[in-house]
Amino acid sequence: MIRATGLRKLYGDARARRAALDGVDFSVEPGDFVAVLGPSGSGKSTLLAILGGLDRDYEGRLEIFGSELRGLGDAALARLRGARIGFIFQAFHLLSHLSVIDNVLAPSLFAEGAGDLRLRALALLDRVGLVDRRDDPPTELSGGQRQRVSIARALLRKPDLVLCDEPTGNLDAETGERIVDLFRELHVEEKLTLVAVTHEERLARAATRTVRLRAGKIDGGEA
Amino acid sequence: MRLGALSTLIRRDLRRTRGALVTSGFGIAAGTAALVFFLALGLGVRAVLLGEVFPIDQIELEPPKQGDPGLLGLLVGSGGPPGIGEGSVRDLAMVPGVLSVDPRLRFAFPSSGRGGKEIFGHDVGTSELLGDGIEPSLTRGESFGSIAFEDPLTHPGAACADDGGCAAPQYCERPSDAAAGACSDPVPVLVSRYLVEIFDKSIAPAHGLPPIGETLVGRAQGVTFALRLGESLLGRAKSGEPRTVRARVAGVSRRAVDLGITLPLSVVRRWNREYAGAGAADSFSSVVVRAKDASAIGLALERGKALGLEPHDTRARDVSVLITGVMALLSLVAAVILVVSASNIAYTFRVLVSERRAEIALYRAVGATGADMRAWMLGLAAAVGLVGGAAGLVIARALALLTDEIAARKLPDFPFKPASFFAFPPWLWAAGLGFAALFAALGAFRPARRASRVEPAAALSGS
Ligand SMILES: Nc1ncnc2c1ncn2[C@@H]1O[C@H](COP(=O)(O)OP(=O)(O)OP(=O)(O)O)[C@@H](O)[C@H]1O
Ligand SMILES: [Mg+2]
Repeated sequence: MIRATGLRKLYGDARARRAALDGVDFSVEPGDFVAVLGPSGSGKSTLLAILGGLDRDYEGRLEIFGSELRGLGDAALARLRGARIGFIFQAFHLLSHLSVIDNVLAPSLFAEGAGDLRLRALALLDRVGLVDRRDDPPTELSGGQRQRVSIARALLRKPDLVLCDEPTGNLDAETGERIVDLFRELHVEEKLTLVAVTHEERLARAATRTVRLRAGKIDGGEA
Repeated sequence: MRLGALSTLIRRDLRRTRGALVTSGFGIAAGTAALVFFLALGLGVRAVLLGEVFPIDQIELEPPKQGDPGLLGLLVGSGGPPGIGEGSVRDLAMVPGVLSVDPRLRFAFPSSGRGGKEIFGHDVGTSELLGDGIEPSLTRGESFGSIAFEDPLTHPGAACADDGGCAAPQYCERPSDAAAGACSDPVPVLVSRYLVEIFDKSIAPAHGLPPIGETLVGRAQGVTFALRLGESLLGRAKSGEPRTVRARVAGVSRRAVDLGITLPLSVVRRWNREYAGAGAADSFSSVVVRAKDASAIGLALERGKALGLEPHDTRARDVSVLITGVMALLSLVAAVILVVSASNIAYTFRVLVSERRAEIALYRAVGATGADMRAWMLGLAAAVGLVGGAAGLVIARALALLTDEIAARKLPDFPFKPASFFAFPPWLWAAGLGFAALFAALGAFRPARRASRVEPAAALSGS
């Protein structure tokens, strides 16, 4: 599903270059639940952005769903992201001017021919336990509730792959636990392929595989 | 992106960013209002000037005026100006787009007039009266009430020696050298609306005379006056004895000469022969070419040049050029306002795009293409432009109505004072909206491009 070889990502200008990723080989097969661990600044978010086609400024080879990412144009890549990849951001990135349901439906604006996704959005909100808050603005929700809205949004278009950046990072232990349970359910019951950056031991334990990053390199090989 | 999605995005923006968008839409409204107001004013004034005062779809052609007759002319004594033959008239009629070619024959002798007691209370005279003749059939379709516009000698009365031998209102039409004449109805005369307007708005007020106005047909029709032939303040005719005939106003005609009187052609022919010789009677002094548009007039002008004819008067073109120039200038002012408001839009949208970097990046992450984001910003700008433009149109129309209202009350009457100084053809409304949307979109062009280039990774990293 994902095949990355020799990924390198450099930041800064010619004088002060730093490699955020330095020769990363990484692959994900359908049905995997990969937990990416590593200290702060080790390149986890950078890796996720590249895998999801958000950041195209890298060196190395990256194949997603069988096609070389560099060969895709902007529009094709955008359509691929919309149709097959779901993102769950560390900072949620909900739109404060929209209601909960409209936030969940945001990807449908750019979904040509996906039909009416409103019923699915409601079903997803029901699943994350927020259907009765559908008309509230996200600013009136707690952190955990916001995270669940962003999970529902990521799942709206039935993606083949979900990329999460510290989905429990900002949450208290109990809320984090419930999110971990949700991920486990999604993985087991819906056969969702997941790549999750995390510090959370529980989330790492729920994963089928863990990858450790240190200073831009895979540390100690894949477990 | 589907149109429905685009309109959803734009509708949400109009709601949530109303303040900033209203401010930038205001400039667009002002610019559009100015543009449409000036254009409508130009079009309205142009319609009155070129439609009624100086029609641009017709032109009068005549032989070149003889400044210097030259030595040969002096020796041969060629006399009056060369005329236009029947052949040239037929030639011009063949030019594509030409609707009609009306030959005219000017008085080749001095004349003056006196009369008008019936409407002015006392007789009014003109020391110099210009006149010409046209084929009566040209006035077909125009109604002059009971008085026929035709040569009165078509139905001559009894033989006579002087006016005493005829029953009023008839007079004795007896050419200078003829032994006897025939009793004749007064010669029917047509005047132009132009003349009536000039009289009513300029001459009548100055001399304390009542205006004739639109009621001319009712009040002045049938007014008879004395026409002195072969003699005026400026001099006497070369040949013939000056004499006085009777004329009668038949009505107002579009075919009448602007300043002067217009008679049946055969009457003028007869009098020209009497006072200026056969040469002044056998040809025409000018032709009026009517065409379907200005370009056909251009063709007729070319043909006329080949025939040795020149336009009698280039006022129509001068006025057209003048109005076009003034309109262009005023529109330029309006365009400047639009450009300024476009740069205002540019600023607003630049701020908008920076504020929304994270939002745009999110949309990009969930499937929006760069082109979608550009379309969003351009569409939003165009919507602001359309709303502002619509407001501008309403403002322009209201200002026009107000201007007309004030003009009707405060401006004194003048020739061809129109009921409205403005014209709002449908295309002007469309053009107003189009320009508003266009300038708004132009203003948003660079910000929209920036929106399409927001890097999702950079905008989403961090918090
Ligand atoms: N936009 C940027 N410009 C310059 N350097 C950057 C940028 N983003 C990240 N970096 C650098 O790249 C390296 C990896 O950053 P990254 O955000 O991937 O770390 P991380 O593993 O996600 O850390 P954390 O756990 O704190 O989120 C860091 O050294 C960081 O300073
Ligand atoms: Mg990170």
